[in-house]
Order: sequence, then C-alpha cells, then structure tokens
Amino acid sequence: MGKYSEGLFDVYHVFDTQAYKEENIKTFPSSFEGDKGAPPFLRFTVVPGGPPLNAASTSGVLLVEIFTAWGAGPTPANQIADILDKHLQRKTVGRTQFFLSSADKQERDKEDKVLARMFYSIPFAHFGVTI
Amino acid sequence: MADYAKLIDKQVTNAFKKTVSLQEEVIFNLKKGESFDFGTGQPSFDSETPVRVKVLVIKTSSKNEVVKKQLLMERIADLDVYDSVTMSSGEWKIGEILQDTGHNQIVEVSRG
Repeated sequence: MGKYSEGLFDVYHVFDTQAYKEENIKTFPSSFEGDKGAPPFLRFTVVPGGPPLNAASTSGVLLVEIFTAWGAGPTPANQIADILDKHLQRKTVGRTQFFLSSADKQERDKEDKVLARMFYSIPFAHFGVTI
Repeated sequence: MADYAKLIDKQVTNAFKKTVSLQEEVIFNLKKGESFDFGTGQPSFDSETPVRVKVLVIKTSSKNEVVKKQLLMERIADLDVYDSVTMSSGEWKIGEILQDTGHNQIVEVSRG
C-alpha cells in the first residue's frame, strides 16, 4: 500500500473505531452514493495536497462536510464539530498525525435545501517509511 | 388531479404497447442497504434483488470507447450507481436518470 492509500485508511480507521461508532453519526466518504438517511450525517474528503517530508510521506487536510437539518440552527453542527475534535484533534492514528481543526460558517446546502452544511477541516501529516 | 394521473398512466401504457416489437426484456440488479465498509474501503450491500422490466432503447452513443444507451421504461424507485442492468448485449452500469415523470423514466446506462 502506498502513501496515499495508507493515509486514507488511517482516516477510515478513525471512523471505524468502536468509540466513534458509539457517537452514532453517519459518516461517508465523498463519492459514496448510497442512501444516507435523515440528517445529521457527514461526508469527508482526504486532500493530500500538502508538501511531503520524503517520498513515502504526505501531508494535507481532511475536509468534513457536516450536514444537519436546515432550520435547527447552528448548535447541532457545532456539537458534531466538537465530537470530531475529540476523535481527531492532536491524535495520531497509524502513521497519520492530525493537528488543529477549524470550521467554516454554516450555510444552506445548494443541492438539497432541507440541509444545512458546515465545513470542518483538520490538517494532517502522514509519515511513511522510506526503505 | 387524480384523473390526470390516471390519464397519464393510460397513455404511457398505450405508448408502450405500440412499441412492443422494439422492446427488450432486461433484468435490473437492484442492490439494497448500501453502506461503506471502512475496513475494506469499499461500499457494501445487504441484498441484491433482480427485477425484470421491459425497456425501449431510444438512443445509443459511443465516445472514448464508452458506449451509452438511453432506456425508456416504467419507473423503478431508488435506482442508483450501484445497480446494474443485464441486457442481451451484456451487463451495463446505471448512469444518470435523465428524466423521471413519476410514471416512467429515461435512464442512461454505460459500458466500456
């Protein structure tokens, strides 16, 4: 497995832990087209666009779109962002280290008007091993 | 409103009857209960159900070695990218739902 897949599977591992599953937040990768059910749910993208430390390393940002019901106000999305922080911020998973998160303002989703969407992002570095 | 719905249903049925010699019976393979398996990194499904439907191929096109067909058919709810259709020419992937009147659909399928 190469550096991009390794970093991606470290992110998958976070969402596959028992502790995260107990949060009961439906979480899907981007381009997953299955039925997501009622909000809240999350859609994430791993963007390995940062500078690498060596040939086996990557860095970048994990983008998470937090979808909640439009009309419920910003509280649910911010509570979910706090939950994401609990599982990601300053954590090391496999060979991937997550740093400090940030979040953008909440907006009405353009594709589905019943949803509100807030971006949560957290930079990461994946430290691969060169042989 | 109900009368209009009945009228449309009847006309769609009539239109299909007139094209019976051009219709092809196909099998839609409908996958249900989609979820994402973080262990394997792949989508997973609870079940797969075959549904036999008559379709009318209204357009075939080819570009960059990908062949696309547009199928006119009675509506199947919840068709998505994970489903497929088996035609006489083999298995085709479900693409975009180009039109959905609530009674019938035009579905784009592709292979290649």
